[in-house]
Amino acid sequence: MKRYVKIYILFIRLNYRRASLHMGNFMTGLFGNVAWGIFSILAIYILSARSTSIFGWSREELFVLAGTYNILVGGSFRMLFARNFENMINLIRLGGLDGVLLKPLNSQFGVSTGHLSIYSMARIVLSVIYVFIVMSIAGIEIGIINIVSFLIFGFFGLIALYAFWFIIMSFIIWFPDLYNIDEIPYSTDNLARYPPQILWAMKMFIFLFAFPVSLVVSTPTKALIDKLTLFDAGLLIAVALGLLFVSSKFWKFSLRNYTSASS
Amino acid sequence: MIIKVDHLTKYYKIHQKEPGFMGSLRSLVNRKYYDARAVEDVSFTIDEGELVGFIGPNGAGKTTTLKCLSGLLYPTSGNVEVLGFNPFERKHDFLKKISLVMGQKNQLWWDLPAMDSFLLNKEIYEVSDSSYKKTIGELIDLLDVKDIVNVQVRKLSLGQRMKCELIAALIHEPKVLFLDEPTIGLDVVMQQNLRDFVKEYNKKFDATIILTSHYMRDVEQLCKRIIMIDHGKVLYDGNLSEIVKKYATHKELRIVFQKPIEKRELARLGKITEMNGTRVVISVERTKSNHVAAEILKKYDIEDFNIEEAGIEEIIRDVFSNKNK
Amino acid sequence: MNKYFLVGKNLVSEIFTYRLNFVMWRVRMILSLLTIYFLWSALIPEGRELFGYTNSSILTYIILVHLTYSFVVASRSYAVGEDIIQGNLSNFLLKPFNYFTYLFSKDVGDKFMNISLTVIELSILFVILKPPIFIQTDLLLLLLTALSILSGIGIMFFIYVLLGSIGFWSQEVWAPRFIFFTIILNFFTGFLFPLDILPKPIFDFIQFLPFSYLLYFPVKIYLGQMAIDQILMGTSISLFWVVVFHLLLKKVWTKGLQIYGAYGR
Repeated sequence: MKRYVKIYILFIRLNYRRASLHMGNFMTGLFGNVAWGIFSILAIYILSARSTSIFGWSREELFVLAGTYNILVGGSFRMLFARNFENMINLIRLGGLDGVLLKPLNSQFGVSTGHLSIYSMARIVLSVIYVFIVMSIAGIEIGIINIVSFLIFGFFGLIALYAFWFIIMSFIIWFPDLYNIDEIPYSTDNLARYPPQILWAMKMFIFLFAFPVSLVVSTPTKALIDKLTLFDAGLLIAVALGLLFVSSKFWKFSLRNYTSASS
Repeated sequence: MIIKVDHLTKYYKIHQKEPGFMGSLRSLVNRKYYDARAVEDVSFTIDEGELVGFIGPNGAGKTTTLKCLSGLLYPTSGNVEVLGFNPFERKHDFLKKISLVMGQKNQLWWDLPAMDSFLLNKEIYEVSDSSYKKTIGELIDLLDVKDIVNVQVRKLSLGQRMKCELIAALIHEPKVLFLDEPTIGLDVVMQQNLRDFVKEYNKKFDATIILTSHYMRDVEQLCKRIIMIDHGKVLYDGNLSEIVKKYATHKELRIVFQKPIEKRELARLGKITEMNGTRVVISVERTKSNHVAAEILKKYDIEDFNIEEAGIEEIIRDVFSNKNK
Repeated sequence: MNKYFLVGKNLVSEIFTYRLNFVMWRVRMILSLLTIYFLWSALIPEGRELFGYTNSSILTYIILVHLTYSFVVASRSYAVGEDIIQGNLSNFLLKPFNYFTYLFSKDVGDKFMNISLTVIELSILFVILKPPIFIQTDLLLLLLTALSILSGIGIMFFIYVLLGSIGFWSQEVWAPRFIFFTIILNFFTGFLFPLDILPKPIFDFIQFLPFSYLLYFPVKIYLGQMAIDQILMGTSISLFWVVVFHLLLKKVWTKGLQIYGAYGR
């Protein structure tokens, strides 16, 4: 465990150095990332301009949701994992996975960590400031307990989203031709920015696979605005840990099918 | 005994694609496979410190065998034992003692100096500070890359990059090293550099090395023992010098005369394969070579004279084409 | 002409070869349609009116935008940037081949496949969701819609190629593309919401930009929600942008080809 922490700290250092070597890249990434965050929040303002509540969420609560989406998915998830998942496709298709498997290291850790998008940090910071402002304007009180429980459930939300992505990306081992399989999780995790009820409105059972995603942001947000029920809390934790377990099992099972890209 | 391979067989299950859109939907649910035989009934053992060359044409099963030995592939049948481990379990204790280097794959971070990747591997392999310092110093000296390791990898030439890849793969001082086409794509000088290094490393660290290569030069210079493999089967396993004795039917006499000699006159001694002024190469049957040499030395004024084995490359080619008949 | 037809045909067979990848892409499009669809049906429930839209008119708008997307936005021309950076462009420059016609032929193949699938998907959705359907019968409006779509296709093509042409000067072609795809496409074309719900000054400003003519404008003409003078004005602006982009592209490529080769292989 200690070794993994040490390795991860080294990852952070290396990624920071890489980012500072490519300042141009870094700035465009930063700009695009922050601009997209701002516009995604603006969209909620435009869409909800004349409504008082949507899917049972008040307008102010939707503003908070837009902010927490940017903290958790647009910021944290993109910073910690997104690049790795994009990279996983090439790793498996071009045989780089061989190198990972031969390292004395948990292979799931090996393929899903290592690349960090440092610039997403800016989006997290700005979103946190935004959420505080919105909540104080709306007169929603924030206690220390709200913040702590947001952090805890945000953590579980990230685990759930990570495992959801990982399970889908593992299919690459079975279907190496699916080089754009990331379209699926990318377009589903966009759903997390809306109230989870939108998923039930779709009334299409084939999209039920997106169910975990609908909890990723909404549950921690409920914790933040003091609307969390015990059921919500239990559900997210169960889903997160369940998916994490399944992702690890499925990965090991898929690896048995891995024949390594031909030389 | 470091490596023991016992009746190793590996079949690949190849997913059979069905034509048409419905076909591809159907194959999502019900996948059909056929077997491709990559390696069949291969057995050999390798002792500590040996440097063994694996040769064979493309698709012969060399890389598959290496992947089975390193634990990437699960054998269809047969047993593999490396350092007392079953490779496919990929126990961390096992992985810390081996290394696989593939000429065309890279593990270095593209945008950073190679030194950073070395550091990362140090942590991954839990190498202590003191032994890291010692090993990396030695490796950098041996490969003469002192000036390169702090340059961004993307700015290095292919050969320089390969040297750094080797260092990254050797930081944990593996007891067993698998080299798959390490010299591919490199220029002649760089190839020689790498060969010298592999030889040096083998001696210095007493590591067991298995090497595959297209370039006979690699094998010729490095390996006492070779394993020839084709269509997944072992054709020959033994000393390189023996195979030469066994299969080389001719020797080459390389002569530089003091003055030009008539071609016709020389032709009766053997087959002239090269003739350029006073320089002549004559191919002579192995058994007669001493006799012919003596005759030439007696009869002509000679500036330089050499008896050489026929090119190893040709011998190997002969072996493969004979066996395939 | 024939060789370009072959290029388009080859692209279609390529899509059939990589059909699962194409399915992935379509799943993404359907998910995005459904999200927007249900978001709007929650925002404007039946019997209510908002921004001058009723439940059925907004849903019709959303579905038509989705269909127009496959006409106008579907394209392969974003690959220009990679072609330049990786040096593949040389292969085309050395052939008796107009590179832009080649690109456009590929686009036509891609659009053909996207339109076909969109129609199939929408038919299925119509059976399940039973959304309101609006059929325009006025021939003049239909003609003007067709014209606006063609003009939109032109604008889009030039934008893609121009974004890719950044590759002559910089390796970083993905960032401008990312910004275009996420921000401009979502907010300035009418993809996420009809532009006329925006405050008037912003809306007026957007009308002078090329982007609203990609999706919003053709759909509004089709729906018959534009006065004839608005249509004429809009069509002129749209065609103006086609010409401007065309001239710009010519300039950029003359300059770009002069320094081409500094990058790449």
